[in-house]
Amino acid sequence: MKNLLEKGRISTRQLAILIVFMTVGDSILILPSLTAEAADQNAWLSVILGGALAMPVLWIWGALARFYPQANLIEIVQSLLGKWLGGAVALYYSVYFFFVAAGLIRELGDFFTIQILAQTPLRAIHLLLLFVLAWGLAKGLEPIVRTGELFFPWFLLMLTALIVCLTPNLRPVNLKPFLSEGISPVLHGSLYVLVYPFAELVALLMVLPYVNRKANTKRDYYLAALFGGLIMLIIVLFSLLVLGPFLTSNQVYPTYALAKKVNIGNFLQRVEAVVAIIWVLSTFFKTAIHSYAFLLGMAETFKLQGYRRLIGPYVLLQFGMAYIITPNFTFYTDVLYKYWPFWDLTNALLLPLILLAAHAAGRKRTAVKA
Amino acid sequence: MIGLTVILLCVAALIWKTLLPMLRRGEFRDGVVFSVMLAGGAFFSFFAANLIPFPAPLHLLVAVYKPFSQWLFSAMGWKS
Amino acid sequence: MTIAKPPIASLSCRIRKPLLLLLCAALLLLLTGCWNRRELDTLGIALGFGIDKTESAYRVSVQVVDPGQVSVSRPASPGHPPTVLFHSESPSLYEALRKMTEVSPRKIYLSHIRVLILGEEIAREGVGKVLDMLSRDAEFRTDFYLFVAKHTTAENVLKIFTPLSNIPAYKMYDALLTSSRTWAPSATVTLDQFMSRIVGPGLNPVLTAIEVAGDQKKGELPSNVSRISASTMLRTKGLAIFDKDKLVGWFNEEESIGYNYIMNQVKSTITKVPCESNGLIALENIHSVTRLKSRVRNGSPVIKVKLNSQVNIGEVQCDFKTTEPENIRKLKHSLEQKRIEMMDSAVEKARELHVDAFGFGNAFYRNQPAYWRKAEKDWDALFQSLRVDYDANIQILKVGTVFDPFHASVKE
Repeated sequence: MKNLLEKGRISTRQLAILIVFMTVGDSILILPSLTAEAADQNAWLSVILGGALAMPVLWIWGALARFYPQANLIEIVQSLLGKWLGGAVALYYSVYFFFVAAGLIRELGDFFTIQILAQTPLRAIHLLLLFVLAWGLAKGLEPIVRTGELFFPWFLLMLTALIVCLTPNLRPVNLKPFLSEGISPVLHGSLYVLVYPFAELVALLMVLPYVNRKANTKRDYYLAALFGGLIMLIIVLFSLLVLGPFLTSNQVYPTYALAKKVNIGNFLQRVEAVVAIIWVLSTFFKTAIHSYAFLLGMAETFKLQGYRRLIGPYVLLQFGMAYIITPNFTFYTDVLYKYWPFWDLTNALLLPLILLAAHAAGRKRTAVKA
Repeated sequence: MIGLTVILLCVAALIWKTLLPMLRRGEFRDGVVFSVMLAGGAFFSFFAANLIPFPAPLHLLVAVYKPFSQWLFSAMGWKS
Repeated sequence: MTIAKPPIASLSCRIRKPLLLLLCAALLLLLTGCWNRRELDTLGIALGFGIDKTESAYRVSVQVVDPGQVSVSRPASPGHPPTVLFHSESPSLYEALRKMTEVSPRKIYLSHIRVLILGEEIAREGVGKVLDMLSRDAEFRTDFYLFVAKHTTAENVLKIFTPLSNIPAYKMYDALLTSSRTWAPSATVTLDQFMSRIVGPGLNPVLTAIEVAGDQKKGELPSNVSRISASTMLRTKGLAIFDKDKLVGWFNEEESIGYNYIMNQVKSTITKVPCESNGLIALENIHSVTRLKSRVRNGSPVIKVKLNSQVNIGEVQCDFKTTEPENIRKLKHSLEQKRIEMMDSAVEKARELHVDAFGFGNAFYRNQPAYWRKAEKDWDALFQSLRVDYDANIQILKVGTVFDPFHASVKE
């Protein structure tokens, strides 16, 4: 099933970079606080556990991609589930990607208006972000991915600089007591790690068919996710080591508080706004891929001639949705804490499993027929 | 007022530059999807631009997953 | 994959250049400022922040810098102090800050605060509620030091002219930083450390006490710094002990140094040890590491304080031959005893006040969490009776640049 809508091709290295960006994504903003709220000083264990639990999920997607190498997620759904059910599930997935993107735009807007630009209205930030997003989407998948490739060294450099500059402030005593409340809080925290960095990667299933497959693609797919998880582990670990468990769970954006702590010889200090750039980058690429997944999904579901024409209405929709998706900050945090993880798991774990089962059933039927 | 004007201008621009050529080429299905999305976009953007509260779609999500979430949190003894 | 040519490349030269210029100009529109721009001359940059209490409200005093008086290019005009104090009152801290615009021509900008001073009265009542605004507001950072104004109000402290340093807030910050590194009965505590120690189980914070040494009225006048010997100075005086967020007592100088030894916060300090005959020997601490070990023996808690130090002899006031190893051994023993005395006096004081200021409970929380879960509610009583073992191990490395004390060679 050669796709006529998307003619771009991306290399394995670009895919790996994309995975790292998407894993770090908005998790670098929200994950330390969520896991520390759940698991206190053992939040770093949650990250390890969550990362381990994510590997089977990645494997399930890999299996789907292997059985249908040329088809993106929507095409798989439509071919396995038929015209009407498949169309419904395809539309459902597109709507899911849309809402994830809306949430991400809102999260970035919230971050700016809480920490840096307090009197600026959310809509101004959203407008700027949507403008860049629309421009990127209009150019296509390949330019977006190539931009990611361009920014990746800077992203890594700033992250490394942040980590290095924080090492004088580490206090290992903050990690004790080790597992004093048992494994249950760690499991709780690992739910967020499983979902926000990893399960939300399911949008990549829309992009995987356009990757030039090489011998190392499969290996790099897992390695990139692990690398992203490693970055998250370091961030959560450093938050705990430098700020302590109470501040990590109580601060809205612990990574910003971390960046505030950088002070080299009273000269290199107050650099937190510069560090915020890396978070904007990672959130942007996650939003871009989810937006792309939505647009491509809509085009596939309704068998349209192209997806670029939908960018205009999409921007209007997101401008509105990013604003109304939550009436206030508290509600959004509550949803992220209690309900959103399960929606992510349904779409990233349950539905792909059902698709795999449908695939296996289909194969058995043809085998029986033959 | 100014929000409504800007939105209508954007809608008009999009219709002129994108919808009309589509319809002229006979791509009616695209036209329908486009129009639905555009109408929805204009509708929601109106609320956003004029800061009118609108019930959040996430309430639907909460309603769907609340029973499971409450059961899981209490069964595992997790902090709420 | 070739990159498509942008549409602008297909235009003729005549249109392209002006169009590009127009686009650049349009981009400039986006750069000229954002919603949140704040011109520097509309900001009242606050360097010192003081919180006191009246009967029904908080009294906030802010030491704002006067940039014209501290600039290097223009000499300061006489009669204008380098900083200005504004104050206002309100039951809400946040409101008090905004109310300050009733007297201040600029809105107070809080990101450059160096010191936060809590008045003694409000410290005794509890500062937990005050800390909320300090951590919630985005303008506040966590790199300033906290003080408690001893026997005075924060506002009084902020009004004193300080010698050698134009801006009193800077002076307080630098003085605390230097003294905690070289003299040690003071502790640099930032806001996040303070909050973590209030919240931490089995842990209570301390803050450095600052007092106005001298006459308050004279200290508020510029004449205070127009003499070589200023009549009034700001002095840090020991530590203030908090029970969670309430001030309950003070450590004196010796107890403060003992506290810092137990908490492993001593970098360098001077310890005096009396000689066998008249006089004393002063030793300088070069490197000191303290480790707290918590253990549960037969159901009761035991804390072991293990102190390892390296010191140099800095001053000898008696007839003490530094060249004899036996003398050094005896001196080492006296010094270890002295250190243990200091630490013990701190523990005694804390026990008097029923406050576990050292985090002994926290050590059990970290290392024996199962025991802590049972012992937590009785910790008050357990802290009084728990056994503290001291193990001080001090090496006297060097004796300075001369051997025997010079006055011992003076022939009568």
